[in-house]
Amino acid sequence: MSKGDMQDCLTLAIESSCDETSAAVLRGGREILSNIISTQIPVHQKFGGVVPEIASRKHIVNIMPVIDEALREAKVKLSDIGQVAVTYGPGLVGALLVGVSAAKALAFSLDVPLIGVNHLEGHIFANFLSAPELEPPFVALVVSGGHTALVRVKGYHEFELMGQTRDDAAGEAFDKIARVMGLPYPGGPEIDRLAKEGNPDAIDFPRALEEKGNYEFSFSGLKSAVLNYLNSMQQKGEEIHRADVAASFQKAVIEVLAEKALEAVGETGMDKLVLAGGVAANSSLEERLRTACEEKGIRFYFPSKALCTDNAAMIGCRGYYQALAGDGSDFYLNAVPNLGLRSISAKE
Amino acid sequence: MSILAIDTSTQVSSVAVVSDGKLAAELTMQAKLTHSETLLPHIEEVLGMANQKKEELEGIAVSLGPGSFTGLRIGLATAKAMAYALQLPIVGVPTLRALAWHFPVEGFQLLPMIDAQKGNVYVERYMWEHGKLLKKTEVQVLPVEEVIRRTEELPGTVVLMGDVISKRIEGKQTLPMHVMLAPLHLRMPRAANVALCGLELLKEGKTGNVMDMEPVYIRRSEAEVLWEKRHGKAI
Amino acid sequence: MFSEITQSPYETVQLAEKVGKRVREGTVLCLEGELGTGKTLFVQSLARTLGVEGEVTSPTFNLMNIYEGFCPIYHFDLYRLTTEEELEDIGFYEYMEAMEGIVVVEWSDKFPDSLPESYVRVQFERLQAGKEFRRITFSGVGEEQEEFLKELEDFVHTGN
Repeated sequence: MSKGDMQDCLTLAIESSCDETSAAVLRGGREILSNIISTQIPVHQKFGGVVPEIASRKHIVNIMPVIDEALREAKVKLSDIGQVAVTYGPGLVGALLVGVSAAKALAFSLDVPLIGVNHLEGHIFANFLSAPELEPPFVALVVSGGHTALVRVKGYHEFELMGQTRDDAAGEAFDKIARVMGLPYPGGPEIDRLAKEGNPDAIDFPRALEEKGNYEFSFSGLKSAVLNYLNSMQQKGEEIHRADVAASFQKAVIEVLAEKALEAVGETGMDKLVLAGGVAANSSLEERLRTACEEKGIRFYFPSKALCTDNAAMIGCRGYYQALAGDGSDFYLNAVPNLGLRSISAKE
Repeated sequence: MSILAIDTSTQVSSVAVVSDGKLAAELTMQAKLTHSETLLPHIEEVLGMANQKKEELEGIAVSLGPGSFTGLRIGLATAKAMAYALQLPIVGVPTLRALAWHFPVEGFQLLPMIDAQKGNVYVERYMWEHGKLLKKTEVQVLPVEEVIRRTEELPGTVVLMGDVISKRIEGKQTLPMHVMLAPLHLRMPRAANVALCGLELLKEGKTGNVMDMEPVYIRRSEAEVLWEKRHGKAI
Repeated sequence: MFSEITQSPYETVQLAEKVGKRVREGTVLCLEGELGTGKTLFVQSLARTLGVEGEVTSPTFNLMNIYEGFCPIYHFDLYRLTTEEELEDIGFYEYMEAMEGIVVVEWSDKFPDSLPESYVRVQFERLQAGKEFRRITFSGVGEEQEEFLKELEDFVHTGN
C-alpha cells in the first residue's frame, strides 16, 4: 500500500492487557473513529455474586461486544478494515490471550495484516492522539503500573531505551508502601491523597542511582528506607505522622522521575517531554513536570484522561506506525506477559 | 455441511474440518502448557489440508469446557471471532460430552473426566442408547479416588477417559475388574469428536451467540458446594 | 530443613545462584517474607543462573511473568490477589501441577491452602544483628523434597 493509501487505511485495534477490554477503529494514524471500553457497554453479566477484580473472565465475555460496538460507532463494516492491531504484552497473560486470539482470528478471516503491539509503546503513542500536532523527536517518561522507563523517541519507528527500573516500578513502590501504611490498593491515588495533608520536606528519604547520565531507576532502596523509618519509629515508640511520610515518600519518587526526565531532555538536546502511562494520572507528578518544563522552555505533553488509561485507540495508533515500518506479526503471535520496552534503530 | 471444530480444553490442541460426510482433515497435538501460539496456524493448515475455503464454511464447533481456563478462552475467543467475521453459526460443545464420542457402543458406562487440579476431577456419566448419546449424571467435581470408588456400584463395563487417566490413574490407582481405561488414542479430546457432536447440536438448532458465549467453568468453591450437596449420591 | 545467614544483598545473590545450579525441573519454590527482605533479588539471581537473559522483576502488577531459560520459569507474585477465585482464574493450579519448568511464587503465604502437596519453601527474615542481614530458611513440604533439600544443603555448604 502506498503512503497515500495508508492514510485512509482503517485499523481495528484490540486491547485486553489488564482490567478493561477495549476496541477502536482508526483512520490513518491519528483519526479516532471509535474508542470503546468495556465499562461503557451494557453486556449481560452472567456472573453471580462479586466478580473478582482480577478476572480474565470478563474479557472473553466482553471481547465481541466491544469489537462490534467499535465498528458500529465508527460506522464501518468489518470488510472495510485494512489491518488488525492488538496488544500482546505486557500484562496479565490470561487477559492478553483473549485479545490476541480474537485479533488473530479476525485478521485471518479477513485476510488482512496482523500487528502485535507493545502496550507501553501504545501509552507513548496515546500522546499523538491527544496532541495531533505532536511529532517526534521527544523524550518520553513512561510510568505505568508495572514499568518505569525513559525512552528517546527519535522517530515513529526509532526508539532508544535510555533506562528503566532495575526492580520495582514507581507504581509498585507506591502500592507496597501504601500497604505497609495500611492504605488500600491501589497505592498511588491513596498516597497522593494523604500526601496533600503532609509536609513533603519532613523526612529526607534517599534517592538511588543519582549519578549523572544514569537513566536507570531503582525504587527498592527507597522502599527499604521508608520501611526502616517506620520500623525504627515504632521501636522508639514515637508517633508516626503518616501524611508526612506519604508526602515525603511521594516527593522522593517524583523528584527522581522529574530530575532524570529533565536531564534526559537536556542531554538529548530535545525540546519536548512526553509523559506516558496509566499511572501518569498522578496529579503531583504531572504538576511537577509541567512546572519544571515551563521554567526551562520545554514543551510538555500529557494525554487526556480517556487516552491515559488503557484503551485500544492508542494501540491502533502505534499499530499504524508499525505497519508503515513493516513491523507486523504472523499467526504465531503469542501473549508475552513481561514484554519490555525495546530500542529500535532506524535501519530496522 | 462443512464445519471447523476446535478443542483446546486440555494440553491437547486439536482442530478438524468435517465436510460432505467426511472427516476431511484433523490436526491433533499434545503440547506443553500453553498452545496459544499454534492454534491459528493449525486452523490455517487444517483448512488447507481439507481443501476447504474458510469463506465456504457453514459452522464452527468449539469445545466449551470444563477444562483449562486459559485453554478454553483461547479456543473460544478464536472461534467467536471467526464466526463473527465469516458470519457463521457457532455451537459450543460440552467437553465431557465430546469425549464420550470416543466409544459410541451400547452397553458401556462411559466416565469422561477432566482434571480439576488439587486431586479433583470434573466427571459426567454417559451411555449410548439406540444410537443416541445420553447424559446420565450432571457434572460433578470429585476427588479422583472417590470416582473410582463409586465405579464399584456401576453395573457392566465402565470405561474411563480424559486427561486424568494418564496424569493420575494409570499405574497409580487400583481399579475394580469391570473398569477399563481408554487406550491412549481414545483417551484425550479430539476435534473430530467436537465436530460430530457439534453437527448434532447444529441440527437441533442449539447454536450460541458470539456476543455472550462463555466457557463452562466449575469454580472450586462452587465445586465444594456441589460436592457437599451430592455427597453420598451414586455417580 | 536448613538456614543460611546472608549479610548483604550480594550474599543473597550468591545463595540463589547455588540453588539455581541444583534445582530440578518441575520444582515449585514458594518464597515467603516481608517487604524488602530480598525475595525478588533471589529470583533475579536464580533466573540468571538458569539462563534467563532479559529483565526479571517482580510481577506484582502482571501477576505472572514467564522467562525462557534452560527451561521455562513461571514467576508468580500473589501480592495483589485477594481471593481463591482470582488464583484459579489465572490458571495458577495448572502451572503448579504441570511439572514443566520451574515455578517460583512470591507471597505464597497469602494462600496457604492453595499450595501444591510438594514444594520447597524459602523463608526470608530480617535479623537484628544488621540492617542487611537476612536469615533464609529452606524447608520441604512433601516427602519428595527431602532428598533434594539434603542435596541442596550439602551443595550450599561444601560446593559439592
